[in-house]
Amino acid sequence: MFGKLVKHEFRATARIIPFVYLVTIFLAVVHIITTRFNLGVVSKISLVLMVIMCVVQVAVTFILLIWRYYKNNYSSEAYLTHTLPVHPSLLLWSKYLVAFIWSLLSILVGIAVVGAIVLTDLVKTADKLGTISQGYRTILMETGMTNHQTALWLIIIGLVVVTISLALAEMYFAITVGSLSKMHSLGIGGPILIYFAEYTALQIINIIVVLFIPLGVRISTAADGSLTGAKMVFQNMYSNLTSITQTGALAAGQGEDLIIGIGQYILLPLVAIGLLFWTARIITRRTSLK
Amino acid sequence: MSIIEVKNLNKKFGSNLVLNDLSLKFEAGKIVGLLGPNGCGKSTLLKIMAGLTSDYEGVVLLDGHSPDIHTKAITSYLPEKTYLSGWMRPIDAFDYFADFYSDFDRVKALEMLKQFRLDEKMPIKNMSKGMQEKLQLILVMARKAKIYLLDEPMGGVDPATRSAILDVTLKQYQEDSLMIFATHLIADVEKIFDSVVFLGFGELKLFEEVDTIREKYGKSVDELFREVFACSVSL
Repeated sequence: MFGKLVKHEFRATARIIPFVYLVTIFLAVVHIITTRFNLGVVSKISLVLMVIMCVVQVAVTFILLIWRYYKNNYSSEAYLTHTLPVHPSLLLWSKYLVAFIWSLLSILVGIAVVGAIVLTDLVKTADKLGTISQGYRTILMETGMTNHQTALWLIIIGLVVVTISLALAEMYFAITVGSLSKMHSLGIGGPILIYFAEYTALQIINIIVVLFIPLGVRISTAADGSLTGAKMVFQNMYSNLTSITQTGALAAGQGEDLIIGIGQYILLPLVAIGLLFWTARIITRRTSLK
Repeated sequence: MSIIEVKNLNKKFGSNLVLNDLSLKFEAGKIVGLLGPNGCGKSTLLKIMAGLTSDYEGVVLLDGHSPDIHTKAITSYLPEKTYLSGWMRPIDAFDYFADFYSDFDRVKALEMLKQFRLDEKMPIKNMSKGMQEKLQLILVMARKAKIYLLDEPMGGVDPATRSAILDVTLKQYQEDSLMIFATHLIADVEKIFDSVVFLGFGELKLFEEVDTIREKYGKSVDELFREVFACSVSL
């Protein structure tokens, strides 16, 4: 049944979302062609529009997926969705899987389009390609990641996965809780209210975790303010900030090391998983349609 | 043996008690009219049976189970609302039902579609309310379900369509199934009922065989309904 739910979820969402990507791809093609034929103004306008679309398509995809979740689970369509002979939690997991894939695609399409522009437009000579490559190597060197490129890319991919999952989990949770019977009188206002409450709570937790979890990146700077190194440490940001404030090191330009807390990167995946399972539990036990 | 059993069912909306200690038993092989004025709890009762409302007190058993995957597999529910996505066409809806309900009969659905003169490729958003209601009825009645729960299936349609809907409903009804038919258009449908339930603001006012009503009260169901739920209007 899960496979069938996923199939129908794809069928429903595929009617609109790919067209959003096609707009971005179309603008990229226009830009590449107009650049080749030296149509300066059109080329620049299409580049600006394409860059805007790269951001907009991620947002539009997300909004469409969230709207689909609400409409299919808590508006009139829910009268069909919730009478299907499937475990109610599968309704969540199938939607999450499909939404995750579309969200990831929206990012990948943006990267692919920008990559295509860079390869066909900006990089016309070997020395420009060399400049980009040199820039990449410099970043790796300054962050001490030269020998850990695989780890770096795994971290970047992990962050993308966690960011998408968390964004979906937060919205699904807000919609599900905001649609409980006690909030029916608020209509769409219920999920919106819950979302703001949830967002505020998560921000507060995030700040606490960043400050107090003993995990951070120590940024070392020289007296002139230049970066001399970055290293992962098991110290919390709060004590470091207290120490800096007390010694007045930064103000005096003494090059005190700064620790930036990264405890949230352990917390966020746990929050995403927690919210998704909590949402699944609510859907299973407490769904009551208006 | 009862295929549906409701014991001491209570359901509140805020402080408003919509179903008040309701107890009922329904047997298979019957068409039961669930009758009552607007807001008396008919739709709420059907929604609980269909597994769409979970915050109630009391016991509701369908085929011996509280509303769950098993009861959803054997129950064919027609809500008052249009529950299909606007982009769907009848053939898409048939695909959807065929995927999830093993008892869905596509051939029967296509026959009914022709009977109602509906275009299988017309998007639902382009259909009139009456056409949408017909399509939903087709989907519900094309299943060989043990239980049919129909909530106002003729709510927004003209008298000719009402007759057509009634014909289809009777033709497709499985003899060994239970059909609960909620409506307040009693005169149009009382001829198909084996028994009727009068629900008056959450409370059971009457649960009787239609033949018994005619013998005992010498009245039609419609006449008795008007008497039971008569309200005085001061002008």
